[in-house]
Amino acid sequence: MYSIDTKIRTIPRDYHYTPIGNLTVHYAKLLNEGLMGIEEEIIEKLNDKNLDNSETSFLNCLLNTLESITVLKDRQLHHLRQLQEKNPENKGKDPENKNIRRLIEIFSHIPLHPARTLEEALQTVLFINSLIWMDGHSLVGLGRLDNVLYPFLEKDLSTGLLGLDEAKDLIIGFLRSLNKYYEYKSNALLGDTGQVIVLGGKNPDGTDSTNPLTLIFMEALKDLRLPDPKIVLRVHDNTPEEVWDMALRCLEAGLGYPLFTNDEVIINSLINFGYREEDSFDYATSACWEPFIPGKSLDQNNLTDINFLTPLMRLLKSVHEEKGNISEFKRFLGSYKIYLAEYIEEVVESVDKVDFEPAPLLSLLVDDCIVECKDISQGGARYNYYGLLSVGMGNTINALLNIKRMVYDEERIDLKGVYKVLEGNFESDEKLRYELSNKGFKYGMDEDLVMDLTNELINSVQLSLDNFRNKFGFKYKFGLSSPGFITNSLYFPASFDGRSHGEPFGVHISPVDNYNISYTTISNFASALNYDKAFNGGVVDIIAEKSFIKSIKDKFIDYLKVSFKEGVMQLQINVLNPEILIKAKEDPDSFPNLIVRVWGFSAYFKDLPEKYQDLIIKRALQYESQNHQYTTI
Amino acid sequence: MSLKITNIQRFSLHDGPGIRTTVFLKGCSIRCPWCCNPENISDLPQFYFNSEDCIHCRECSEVCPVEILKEPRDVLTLAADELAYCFKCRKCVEGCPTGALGIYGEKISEEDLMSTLEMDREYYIQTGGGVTFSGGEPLLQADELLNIFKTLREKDIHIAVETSLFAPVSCLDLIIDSVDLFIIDVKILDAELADSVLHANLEEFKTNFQMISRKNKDMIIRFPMIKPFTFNRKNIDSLMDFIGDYNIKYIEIFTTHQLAAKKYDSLGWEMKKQECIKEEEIKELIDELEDISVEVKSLNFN
Ligand code: SF4
Ligand code: SF4
Repeated sequence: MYSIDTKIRTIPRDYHYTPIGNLTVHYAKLLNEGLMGIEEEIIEKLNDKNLDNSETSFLNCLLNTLESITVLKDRQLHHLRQLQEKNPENKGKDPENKNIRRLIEIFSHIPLHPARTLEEALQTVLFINSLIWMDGHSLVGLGRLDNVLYPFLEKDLSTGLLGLDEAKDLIIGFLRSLNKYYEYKSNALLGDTGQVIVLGGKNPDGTDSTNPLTLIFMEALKDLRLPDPKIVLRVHDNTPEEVWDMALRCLEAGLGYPLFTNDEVIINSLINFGYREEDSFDYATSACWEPFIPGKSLDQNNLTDINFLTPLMRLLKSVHEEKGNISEFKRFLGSYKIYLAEYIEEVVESVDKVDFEPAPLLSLLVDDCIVECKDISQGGARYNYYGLLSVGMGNTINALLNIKRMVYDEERIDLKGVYKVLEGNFESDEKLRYELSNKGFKYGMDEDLVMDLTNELINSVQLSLDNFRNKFGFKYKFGLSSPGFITNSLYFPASFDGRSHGEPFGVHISPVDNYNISYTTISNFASALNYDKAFNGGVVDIIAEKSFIKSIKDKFIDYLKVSFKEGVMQLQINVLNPEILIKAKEDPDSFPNLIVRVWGFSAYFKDLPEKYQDLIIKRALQYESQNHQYTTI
Repeated sequence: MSLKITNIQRFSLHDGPGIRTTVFLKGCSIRCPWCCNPENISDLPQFYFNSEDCIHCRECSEVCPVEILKEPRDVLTLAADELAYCFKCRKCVEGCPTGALGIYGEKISEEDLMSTLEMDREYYIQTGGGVTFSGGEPLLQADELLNIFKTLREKDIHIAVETSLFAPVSCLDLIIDSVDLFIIDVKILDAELADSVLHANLEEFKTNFQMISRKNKDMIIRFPMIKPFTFNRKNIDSLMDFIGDYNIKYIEIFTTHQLAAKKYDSLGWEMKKQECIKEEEIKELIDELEDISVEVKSLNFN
């Protein structure tokens, strides 16, 4: 049972506050202790003589919240009983009634008491999840459900209550429920719900944490062919073959997920950044791909974007206006980094103004709000880091490489000329625009020059960010991919990578345009990046045709394994056929179920704005020509 | 020493085991009417023009010092014509902003080639892949390849050579010990037809084949199904007879694709249309081959 009152969110709220989103609560704790367990913890804490007024009132507020949840649960029970009584003579016979009886049993127990079976566990998650949505939070994540739920399945299997097939049926029902209210849950675009289920992963002792539920979740979604919820799969050296195989089958089915995320890279980065070791091993992701500790973090990982092109434009403008010049590329790069640092300071200032709306419901379910007697909006969670994302990095690297080549090495144009061309949006020099986008080394190539320059910018950003702490006293982190590659680009002037005004920025860690960069090239490039300083999401986004993946499935899995071993942090694959996309754009009604990967989510192609459709078609065509260009026969 | 190549294809998956890099060498000893890599036939550099990529900016015409390019496509006819004034200064190619105009067949030094080949070393090692030399006919550059092979072997990189074996036996002799796998194209097995259709000497092929077999090298056979040239009763019977005598890993059969049409066009040539081969016919061939217990892989590029 899963229901959301979709009108509740329209009740006016205080606009001074930003509602907290992009978050996963502590489902494991909820399932194992029940709300009553949490209540006991609060009451015990209230007995502490040293609490001040605000702390006591916070804890009392939590108790009130618990009471309200109980009232809601009772109302639900009451409603179920009424339904049952409508049909007294049929009691227990028709399946509808049997279901109702079962739900009554379940809700007489959960969410107050710990769940005893897989079904109770799933129902608890659904119930609390629906409350979080109605409480006004968006991008509500689900965390490591295979790990969280497996103890319940294990018990059911051993008591003979369930077989694996029945477990799969329960999971299918669970996923279908989460898929409801698709539109209501969508954030920036239809499908952008943040409903991510994280599967698999490495245990602290190096062993693999996969269990039968890992496969069941993937298989169920593959069979259902739903774009939402979606999967992030944690992989590492010991990820079993059958998990890889099932992941590829999901991709072949054209779901656009799982997104693969590399434990070997991320866990280390998290520990180095300051997360506790045991928590780092338990990472999931907030809405798209940003590593996040479920149930322990407020971490707002997607506060805003760093646009690498902004400081570059400012620098060129100032050179133009001051009629100065910069004599060497090294000095130009140095100036760029100064502008970048200033810009980052502005970005940080703007995000630190944000005040979060108090959220007692989340505070109940996120460590250590109760221990600290502090609401999550006030920094009660264990981790309160802020995360920034970035756009335009590939465009900036390419622009810098072009400036190096044309302004400094070949001396064909000066910096003022560069600014003028950009201001005029290449209108008088289309030829130059083509040359800029076609010639020379490009972002995504495994050439030292490119990789070193990229790492130089990464280090420079993190160095600037290290100077700041947010209002909770926590550090800033940043990542290399962002949903904003189109929205940020719409009104952005032309750039010296050969991008015209308003054209989309490069997508994540992928070549900005088609330079015949092979999959291994991009993986080598991505492996060389310094993720210790940029781990807030870093996705290589590639496109492959279904027939291609199918014909070389084993080699493709090998490719993925080696890429992650080499140090690629995250990777997602859109399995598409460009011809079908083109037809689907013209005639959406004939392809109602065509799913594509957008940024951190999958969506129906027909629901996408034209700009996004066009970009996917363009990229798919580029990859197609690349895969076909040369064969020996 | 340097090699004449047209392309280096990384993440190559169809030219031997594992993940590989394929080097396409320029220059071929025979002339298959169905050739899919026409840019590798001549061993001389050749201009190309991809009309799809041309933005009609006229840069090529403007920079040409002898002003002979009325249209960019002119480069295809003029460059081939030794009497024309083009002195191959390449200004047109360098000036083209989109890459529509270019040259097939650059010389690459050993060091540059090695540094590219080594980039995917981890992928080779961990997936049982390596480097494949294809073409054109790699054996024609045996001298130049020898050193590269030595370096590759030192670095434990698996070497495959894709060849039609129409080359002097001395060429094969030079490199045979450094090669781990031969991917051998078997085309026409009738001496007269080989000569008239392919301009090839079947004796060379046979001698070379025996040498590879004697040395117990790994062999994969590739058989292009082309009507009427290779895909006819008589030739298929000869194929059965022939491979029956040798120990091969498996045979790959394939129909040719139209993907090369663009490359023909870029050279100013036209690709000959191939007669279509039906699924059932392919199935029959597979059955026949399996009957003589040869493992068959059918590659489909369409
Ligand atoms: S190579 Fe030089 S001379 Fe020949 S067509 Fe091009 S620009 Fe003219
Ligand atoms: S320079 Fe290139 S793009 Fe311009 S006209 Fe010549 S071939 Fe076409």
